[in-house]
Amino acid sequence: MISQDEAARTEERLRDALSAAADIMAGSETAAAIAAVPQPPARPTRARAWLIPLAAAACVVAVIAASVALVTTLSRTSGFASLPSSPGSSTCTPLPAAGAGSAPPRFYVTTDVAARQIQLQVRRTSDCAITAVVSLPAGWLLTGGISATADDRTFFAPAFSAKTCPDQPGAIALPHATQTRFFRFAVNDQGRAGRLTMVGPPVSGIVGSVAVSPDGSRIAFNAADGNFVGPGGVCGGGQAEGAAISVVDLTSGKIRTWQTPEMPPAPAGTSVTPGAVSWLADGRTLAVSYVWPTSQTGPQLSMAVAALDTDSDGGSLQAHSHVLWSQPKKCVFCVQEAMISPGGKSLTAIATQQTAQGGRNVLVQISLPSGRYRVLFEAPAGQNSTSATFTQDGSGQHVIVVSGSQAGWIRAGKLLSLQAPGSALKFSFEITTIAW
Amino acid sequence: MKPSGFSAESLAEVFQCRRSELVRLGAFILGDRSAAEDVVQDVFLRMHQRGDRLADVDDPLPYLRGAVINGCRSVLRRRRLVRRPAHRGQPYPPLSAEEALLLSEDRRQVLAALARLPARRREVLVLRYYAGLSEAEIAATLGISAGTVKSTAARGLAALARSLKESR
Repeated sequence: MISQDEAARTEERLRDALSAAADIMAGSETAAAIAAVPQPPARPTRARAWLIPLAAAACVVAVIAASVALVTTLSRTSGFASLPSSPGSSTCTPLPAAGAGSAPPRFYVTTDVAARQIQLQVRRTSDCAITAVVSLPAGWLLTGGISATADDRTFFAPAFSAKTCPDQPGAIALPHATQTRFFRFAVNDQGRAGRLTMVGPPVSGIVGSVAVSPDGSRIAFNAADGNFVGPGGVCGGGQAEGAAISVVDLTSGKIRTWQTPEMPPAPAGTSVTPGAVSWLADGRTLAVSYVWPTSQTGPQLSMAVAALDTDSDGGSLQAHSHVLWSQPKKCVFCVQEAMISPGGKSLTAIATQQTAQGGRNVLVQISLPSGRYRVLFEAPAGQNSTSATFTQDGSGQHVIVVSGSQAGWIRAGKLLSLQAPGSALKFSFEITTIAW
Repeated sequence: MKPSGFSAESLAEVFQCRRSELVRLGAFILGDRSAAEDVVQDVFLRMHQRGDRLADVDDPLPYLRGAVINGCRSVLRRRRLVRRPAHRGQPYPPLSAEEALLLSEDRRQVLAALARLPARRREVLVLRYYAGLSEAEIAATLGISAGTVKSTAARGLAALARSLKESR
């Protein structure tokens, strides 16, 4: 027999080796199963953004729809087909030689079709290769909303526990989201991921747009996607609380919330819906974009961005914020979603430009002092997608655009693909599932 | 422990949430990832075709683990590999060359030593140190007594330690 010390060491080595091998294996083994899942619902465009408060329900429906399709497919296939590389999908663009502009972050974190909602992949920007795979604990599913600190090396991802309400068994037992937790991990110079740690207190419901403060001490999120806080929670028939912005202080564990029923310049009596949140470099001011309907009979929206003082005690968003920018009534570039630069001098925004051929997605930079627009990227004709979103790095200079199932970063007006050959970045949810 | 009362949607949800974990479990036991995928596929397919229902089971995972391990044993029997190294003729752990590079040499040695163990010992160690099951849970999964689990795990660990010493 072996000594107790030796047994303990062997146990530890075995546990470590199995865990490491499982993490590596996990990245590719699920690809085939997901090949059967139909295209996920598109991200709400500006024209459909009035549906944002229903997004939580839509997420649940999407999970169910995908699951049902999966079972249907299971019943008629005898084996898993390999994930086909989608025709016409772009492949990773090699990092250009150093030239004008600063270098982008060396790594980005995402989740793709293979990883689904249970794994995060660390990928190298230069060749899109996976350098690490981070798996969530069993029972937790990513909701998207990956966010990084200013140094682009510490990543946060929200995940929810999909549980079934005990009093709703059988065919209608939908996997209600009862709780969201935030998970954190760091990436080193080699792209290896550190230990995944659950941080902060639990949050009821599914969170929407998420932004971690530059130093990683606070996480801001919008609860527009349905933050179920009513008595009894989801299963107890609790009602979704109104749209709100919340900030979790990871040091104290305290959550502060600012309600957003009305905000200028929306007309009195009109409820606004918060969208993307982004931090200024001071780690205190949070830019909040929000939309409101301009017609009760149609999905016409207007939009604005406000600066919230997150050192305030919570309460009314209107009382603790001021409007930074609002969309003109007749917009050429009609902004769907905007994030502020760390210095607070400009907004980066995904907008729709109406052309004779229809709407075209455009990434613009809006100067806050002057209100002028600068086009950073235009989706090529024929490659437009109704679902476009973006995220930026800690400097605000490097922007990743996700359009449909494609992702890339913008350099000198061009989209450099961040998509490895054979990898399909199809997103389960409309919110950001890529970050650097 | 035949499950009952789970809808197709719930089965799909379980599939979505647990497939990866079950495939990895099978892969560690078989040393063959594609065979493990087939085993897991078969388990879910049979459940779906038979209309197995799981609603009365709070946690279907133990049942699924047991079904996957039984499926793995069938594969091993078919290959006549019971009591023989599962990885003979193929690399272990079941990773591609690119993936294997992400594993340190020490971890590769540990996994290779695990692959050399008899199937029953390997099953117990994988369930204990990968799946994190208690002795009682392993006993229920494998259909053996807790005492047998304890002694098999101890012998497996000792054999693993000896194998690692010899490979130094």
